[in-house]
Amino acid sequence: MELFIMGAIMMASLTAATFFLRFWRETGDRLFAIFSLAFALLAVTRLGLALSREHTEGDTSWYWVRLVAFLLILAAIVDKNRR
Amino acid sequence: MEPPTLVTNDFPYELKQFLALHIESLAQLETLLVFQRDPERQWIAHELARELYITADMCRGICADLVNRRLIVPGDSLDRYRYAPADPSVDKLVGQLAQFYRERRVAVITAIYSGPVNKVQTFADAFRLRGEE
Amino acid sequence: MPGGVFILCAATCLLCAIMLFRGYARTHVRLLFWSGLCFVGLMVDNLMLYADLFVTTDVLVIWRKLPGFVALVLLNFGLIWESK
Repeated sequence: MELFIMGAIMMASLTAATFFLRFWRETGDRLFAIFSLAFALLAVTRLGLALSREHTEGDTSWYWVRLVAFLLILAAIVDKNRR
Repeated sequence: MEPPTLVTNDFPYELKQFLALHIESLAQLETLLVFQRDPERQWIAHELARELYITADMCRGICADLVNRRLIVPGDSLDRYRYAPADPSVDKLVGQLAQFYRERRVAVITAIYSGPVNKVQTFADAFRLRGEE
Repeated sequence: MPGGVFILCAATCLLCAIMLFRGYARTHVRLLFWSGLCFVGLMVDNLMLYADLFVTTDVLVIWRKLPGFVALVLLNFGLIWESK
Protein backbone atom coordinates (compact mmCIF):
# COMPACT_ATOMS: atom_id res chain seq x y z
CA MET A 1 0.00 0.00 0.00
CA GLU A 2 2.83 2.28 0.90
CA LEU A 3 4.59 1.70 -2.37
CA PHE A 4 1.35 2.36 -4.16
CA ILE A 5 0.97 5.79 -2.59
CA MET A 6 4.59 6.61 -3.22
CA GLY A 7 4.17 5.59 -6.82
CA ALA A 8 1.08 7.75 -7.07
CA ILE A 9 2.92 10.72 -5.59
CA MET A 10 5.77 10.18 -8.00
CA MET A 11 3.42 10.10 -10.98
CA ALA A 12 1.61 13.20 -9.79
CA SER A 13 4.92 15.03 -9.38
CA LEU A 14 5.97 14.00 -12.86
CA THR A 15 2.67 15.13 -14.32
CA ALA A 16 3.04 18.49 -12.63
CA ALA A 17 6.60 18.74 -13.93
CA THR A 18 5.32 18.05 -17.43
CA PHE A 19 2.67 20.74 -17.15
CA PHE A 20 5.27 23.22 -15.98
CA LEU A 21 7.44 22.24 -18.93
CA ARG A 22 4.57 22.98 -21.26
CA PHE A 23 3.93 26.30 -19.57
CA TRP A 24 7.58 27.17 -20.04
CA ARG A 25 7.22 26.47 -23.72
CA GLU A 26 4.02 28.51 -23.92
CA THR A 27 5.15 31.58 -22.05
CA GLY A 28 8.93 31.46 -22.13
CA ASP A 29 8.94 32.30 -18.45
CA ARG A 30 11.98 30.81 -16.77
CA LEU A 31 10.04 30.25 -13.56
CA PHE A 32 8.21 27.35 -15.15
CA ALA A 33 11.41 25.66 -16.30
CA ILE A 34 12.73 25.79 -12.76
CA PHE A 35 9.46 24.57 -11.24
CA SER A 36 9.42 21.73 -13.72
CA LEU A 37 12.90 20.68 -12.68
CA ALA A 38 11.99 20.98 -9.00
CA PHE A 39 8.94 18.75 -9.31
CA ALA A 40 10.90 16.29 -11.41
CA LEU A 41 13.43 16.08 -8.60
CA LEU A 42 10.65 15.46 -6.10
CA ALA A 43 9.50 12.61 -8.32
CA VAL A 44 13.02 11.25 -8.43
CA THR A 45 13.11 11.37 -4.63
CA ARG A 46 10.08 9.11 -4.38
CA LEU A 47 11.51 6.73 -6.92
CA GLY A 48 14.80 6.59 -5.10
CA LEU A 49 13.11 5.97 -1.78
CA ALA A 50 10.94 3.24 -3.20
CA LEU A 51 13.94 1.52 -4.71
CA SER A 52 16.06 1.81 -1.61
CA ARG A 53 13.43 0.19 0.58
CA GLU A 54 13.53 3.12 2.94
CA HIS A 55 10.26 4.93 3.10
CA THR A 56 11.00 8.07 4.96
CA GLU A 57 13.52 10.61 3.77
CA GLY A 58 14.62 11.30 7.29
CA ASP A 59 16.39 7.97 7.27
CA THR A 60 18.29 8.42 4.07
CA SER A 61 20.26 10.93 2.11
CA TRP A 62 17.42 11.54 -0.29
CA TYR A 63 16.45 14.56 1.72
CA TRP A 64 19.27 16.43 0.04
CA VAL A 65 17.53 16.01 -3.27
CA ARG A 66 14.34 17.30 -1.71
CA LEU A 67 16.25 20.31 -0.40
CA VAL A 68 17.65 21.02 -3.85
CA ALA A 69 14.12 20.85 -5.28
CA PHE A 70 12.84 23.46 -2.86
CA LEU A 71 15.93 25.61 -3.18
CA LEU A 72 15.24 25.65 -6.89
CA ILE A 73 11.73 26.90 -6.21
CA LEU A 74 13.14 29.60 -3.97
CA ALA A 75 15.63 30.50 -6.67
CA ALA A 76 12.80 30.78 -9.18
CA ILE A 77 10.98 33.24 -6.93
CA VAL A 78 14.09 35.32 -6.37
CA ASP A 79 14.84 35.25 -10.08
CA LYS A 80 11.30 36.41 -10.84
CA ASN A 81 11.75 39.43 -8.67
CA ARG A 82 15.16 40.35 -9.89
CA ARG A 83 14.00 41.15 -13.40
CA MET B 1 -11.39 62.19 -8.25
CA GLU B 2 -8.62 59.69 -7.80
CA PRO B 3 -5.02 60.73 -8.45
CA PRO B 4 -3.80 60.07 -11.99
CA THR B 5 -2.03 56.79 -12.62
CA LEU B 6 0.35 58.20 -15.19
CA VAL B 7 3.30 57.92 -12.85
CA THR B 8 3.44 54.14 -13.06
CA ASN B 9 3.39 51.67 -15.91
CA ASP B 10 0.96 49.40 -14.16
CA PHE B 11 -2.23 48.29 -15.81
CA PRO B 12 -4.25 47.21 -12.79
CA TYR B 13 -5.09 43.54 -12.88
CA GLU B 14 -8.69 44.10 -11.84
CA LEU B 15 -9.26 46.39 -14.80
CA LYS B 16 -7.61 44.02 -17.20
CA GLN B 17 -9.78 41.23 -15.96
CA PHE B 18 -12.94 43.32 -16.10
CA LEU B 19 -12.18 44.07 -19.73
CA ALA B 20 -11.46 40.44 -20.47
CA LEU B 21 -14.68 39.31 -18.86
CA HIS B 22 -17.18 42.00 -19.83
CA ILE B 23 -15.98 44.15 -22.69
CA GLU B 24 -15.94 42.70 -26.17
CA SER B 25 -15.42 45.80 -28.24
CA LEU B 26 -14.40 49.40 -28.05
CA ALA B 27 -17.96 50.44 -28.89
CA GLN B 28 -19.18 48.47 -25.90
CA LEU B 29 -16.72 50.18 -23.60
CA GLU B 30 -17.61 53.62 -24.90
CA THR B 31 -21.30 52.81 -24.44
CA LEU B 32 -20.79 51.69 -20.87
CA LEU B 33 -18.79 54.80 -20.09
CA VAL B 34 -21.51 57.06 -21.47
CA PHE B 35 -23.91 55.39 -19.06
CA GLN B 36 -21.48 55.68 -16.20
CA ARG B 37 -20.86 59.37 -16.80
CA ASP B 38 -24.50 60.19 -16.11
CA PRO B 39 -25.90 57.54 -13.76
CA GLU B 40 -29.33 59.12 -13.32
CA ARG B 41 -30.02 59.58 -16.98
CA GLN B 42 -32.11 57.23 -19.07
CA TRP B 43 -30.86 56.93 -22.58
CA ILE B 44 -32.91 55.98 -25.58
CA ALA B 45 -31.03 53.55 -27.78
CA HIS B 46 -31.12 55.56 -30.99
CA GLU B 47 -30.12 58.73 -29.16
CA LEU B 48 -27.19 56.93 -27.66
CA ALA B 49 -26.26 55.54 -31.06
CA ARG B 50 -26.06 59.08 -32.44
CA GLU B 51 -23.86 60.10 -29.54
CA LEU B 52 -21.48 57.25 -30.22
CA TYR B 53 -21.56 57.36 -34.00
CA ILE B 54 -22.79 53.80 -34.33
CA THR B 55 -25.96 52.38 -35.83
CA ALA B 56 -29.08 52.10 -33.70
CA ASP B 57 -29.16 48.33 -34.18
CA MET B 58 -25.60 47.97 -33.01
CA CYS B 59 -26.43 50.13 -30.03
CA ARG B 60 -29.43 48.02 -29.10
CA GLY B 61 -27.33 44.89 -29.36
CA ILE B 62 -24.71 46.35 -27.08
CA CYS B 63 -27.30 47.54 -24.60
CA ALA B 64 -28.94 44.11 -24.49
CA ASP B 65 -25.57 42.57 -23.80
CA LEU B 66 -24.82 45.10 -21.06
CA VAL B 67 -28.16 44.30 -19.46
CA ASN B 68 -27.23 40.61 -19.46
CA ARG B 69 -24.00 41.48 -17.77
CA ARG B 70 -25.92 43.43 -15.14
CA LEU B 71 -24.19 46.69 -15.86
CA ILE B 72 -27.27 48.58 -17.04
CA VAL B 73 -30.99 48.01 -16.66
CA PRO B 74 -33.92 48.70 -18.94
CA GLY B 75 -35.69 51.98 -18.23
CA ASP B 76 -39.29 53.06 -17.98
CA SER B 77 -40.16 52.39 -21.56
CA LEU B 78 -39.00 50.39 -24.52
CA ASP B 79 -35.50 51.08 -25.74
CA ARG B 80 -34.56 53.07 -22.69
CA TYR B 81 -31.66 52.12 -20.47
CA ARG B 82 -30.04 53.34 -17.30
CA TYR B 83 -26.69 52.76 -15.60
CA ALA B 84 -27.16 50.21 -12.80
CA PRO B 85 -24.19 48.01 -11.93
CA ALA B 86 -24.91 44.83 -10.01
CA ASP B 87 -23.09 46.03 -6.92
CA PRO B 88 -20.98 48.96 -5.63
CA SER B 89 -17.67 47.19 -6.24
CA VAL B 90 -18.52 46.90 -9.94
CA ASP B 91 -19.45 50.56 -9.98
CA LYS B 92 -16.11 51.44 -8.44
CA LEU B 93 -14.30 49.33 -11.00
CA VAL B 94 -16.10 51.02 -13.90
CA GLY B 95 -15.22 54.37 -12.40
CA GLN B 96 -11.58 53.38 -12.22
CA LEU B 97 -11.77 52.11 -15.75
CA ALA B 98 -13.24 55.40 -16.94
CA GLN B 99 -10.41 57.29 -15.32
CA PHE B 100 -7.82 54.91 -16.66
CA TYR B 101 -9.26 55.12 -20.14
CA ARG B 102 -8.94 58.89 -20.03
CA GLU B 103 -5.25 58.61 -19.30
CA ARG B 104 -4.21 55.45 -21.12
CA ARG B 105 -6.56 55.19 -24.05
CA VAL B 106 -4.31 53.09 -26.26
CA ALA B 107 -3.43 50.66 -23.48
CA VAL B 108 -7.10 50.04 -22.77
CA ILE B 109 -7.98 49.53 -26.42
CA THR B 110 -5.10 47.11 -26.80
CA ALA B 111 -6.26 45.22 -23.73
CA ILE B 112 -9.81 44.89 -25.08
CA TYR B 113 -8.62 43.20 -28.22
CA SER B 114 -5.79 41.16 -26.77
CA GLY B 115 -8.00 38.34 -25.53
CA PRO B 116 -8.67 36.74 -22.16
CA VAL B 117 -6.39 36.93 -19.17
CA ASN B 118 -3.73 34.29 -19.47
CA LYS B 119 -4.09 31.97 -16.48
CA VAL B 120 -0.67 30.48 -16.86
CA GLN B 121 0.99 33.87 -16.87
CA THR B 122 -1.11 34.77 -13.84
CA PHE B 123 0.46 31.85 -11.98
CA ALA B 124 3.93 33.13 -12.74
CA ASP B 125 2.95 36.70 -11.92
CA ALA B 126 1.71 35.62 -8.50
CA PHE B 127 5.34 35.17 -7.47
CA ARG B 128 6.18 38.81 -7.93
CA LEU B 129 6.55 40.42 -4.54
CA ARG B 130 5.89 43.83 -5.88
CA GLY B 131 2.32 43.21 -6.99
CA GLU B 132 0.73 43.79 -10.37
CA GLU B 133 2.85 43.84 -13.46
CA MET C 1 21.24 18.48 9.44
CA PRO C 2 18.06 16.85 8.23
CA GLY C 3 15.71 18.58 10.62
CA GLY C 4 16.69 22.02 9.43
CA VAL C 5 16.30 20.88 5.83
CA PHE C 6 12.65 20.03 6.30
CA ILE C 7 11.94 23.28 8.09
CA LEU C 8 13.49 25.21 5.24
CA CYS C 9 11.45 23.23 2.73
CA ALA C 10 8.31 23.86 4.75
CA ALA C 11 9.07 27.58 4.87
CA THR C 12 9.49 27.67 1.10
CA CYS C 13 6.15 25.94 0.68
CA LEU C 14 4.52 28.43 3.00
CA LEU C 15 5.95 31.31 1.01
CA CYS C 16 4.65 29.83 -2.23
CA ALA C 17 1.24 29.22 -0.73
CA ILE C 18 0.99 32.78 0.55
CA MET C 19 1.98 34.25 -2.80
CA LEU C 20 -0.44 32.05 -4.67
CA PHE C 21 -3.35 32.78 -2.36
CA ARG C 22 -2.59 36.46 -2.53
CA GLY C 23 -2.56 36.20 -6.30
CA TYR C 24 -5.84 34.32 -6.22
CA ALA C 25 -7.45 36.98 -4.06
CA ARG C 26 -6.43 39.56 -6.60
CA THR C 27 -7.15 37.80 -9.86
CA HIS C 28 -9.66 35.02 -9.07
CA VAL C 29 -7.79 32.66 -11.34
CA ARG C 30 -8.66 29.28 -9.85
CA LEU C 31 -5.42 27.62 -10.86
CA LEU C 32 -3.73 29.70 -8.20
CA PHE C 33 -6.16 28.47 -5.58
CA TRP C 34 -5.48 24.80 -6.23
CA SER C 35 -1.75 25.42 -6.45
CA GLY C 36 -1.86 27.29 -3.16
CA LEU C 37 -3.56 24.35 -1.51
CA CYS C 38 -0.93 22.07 -2.97
CA PHE C 39 1.84 24.04 -1.34
CA VAL C 40 0.02 24.03 1.97
CA GLY C 41 -0.12 20.24 1.72
CA LEU C 42 3.55 20.08 0.79
CA MET C 43 4.34 22.26 3.78
CA VAL C 44 2.49 19.84 6.06
CA ASP C 45 4.31 16.99 4.37
CA ASN C 46 7.65 18.60 5.18
CA LEU C 47 6.64 19.36 8.74
CA MET C 48 5.62 15.75 9.21
CA LEU C 49 9.01 14.59 8.03
CA TYR C 50 10.56 16.93 10.57
CA ALA C 51 8.29 15.57 13.28
CA ASP C 52 9.27 12.06 12.27
CA LEU C 53 12.83 12.75 13.31
CA PHE C 54 12.06 14.07 16.75
CA VAL C 55 8.81 12.42 17.63
CA THR C 56 8.68 8.72 17.15
CA THR C 57 5.13 8.21 16.20
CA ASP C 58 3.21 5.06 15.61
CA VAL C 59 1.19 6.76 12.97
CA LEU C 60 0.78 4.55 9.96
CA VAL C 61 3.08 5.53 7.15
CA ILE C 62 0.09 5.84 4.87
CA TRP C 63 -1.40 8.64 6.96
CA ARG C 64 1.95 10.38 7.04
CA LYS C 65 2.10 10.34 3.29
CA LEU C 66 -1.46 11.56 2.89
CA PRO C 67 -0.89 15.36 2.98
CA GLY C 68 1.74 15.15 0.25
CA PHE C 69 -0.45 12.84 -1.77
CA VAL C 70 -3.53 15.03 -1.47
CA ALA C 71 -1.44 18.13 -2.22
CA LEU C 72 -0.21 16.75 -5.52
CA VAL C 73 -3.62 15.40 -6.48
CA LEU C 74 -5.05 18.88 -5.96
CA LEU C 75 -2.29 20.44 -8.01
CA ASN C 76 -2.86 18.00 -10.83
CA PHE C 77 -6.56 18.63 -10.68
CA GLY C 78 -5.98 22.35 -10.92
CA LEU C 79 -3.48 22.01 -13.75
CA ILE C 80 -5.64 19.70 -15.80
CA TRP C 81 -8.95 21.40 -15.15
CA GLU C 82 -7.87 24.99 -15.36
CA SER C 83 -5.30 25.18 -18.09
CA LYS C 84 -6.65 25.90 -21.52
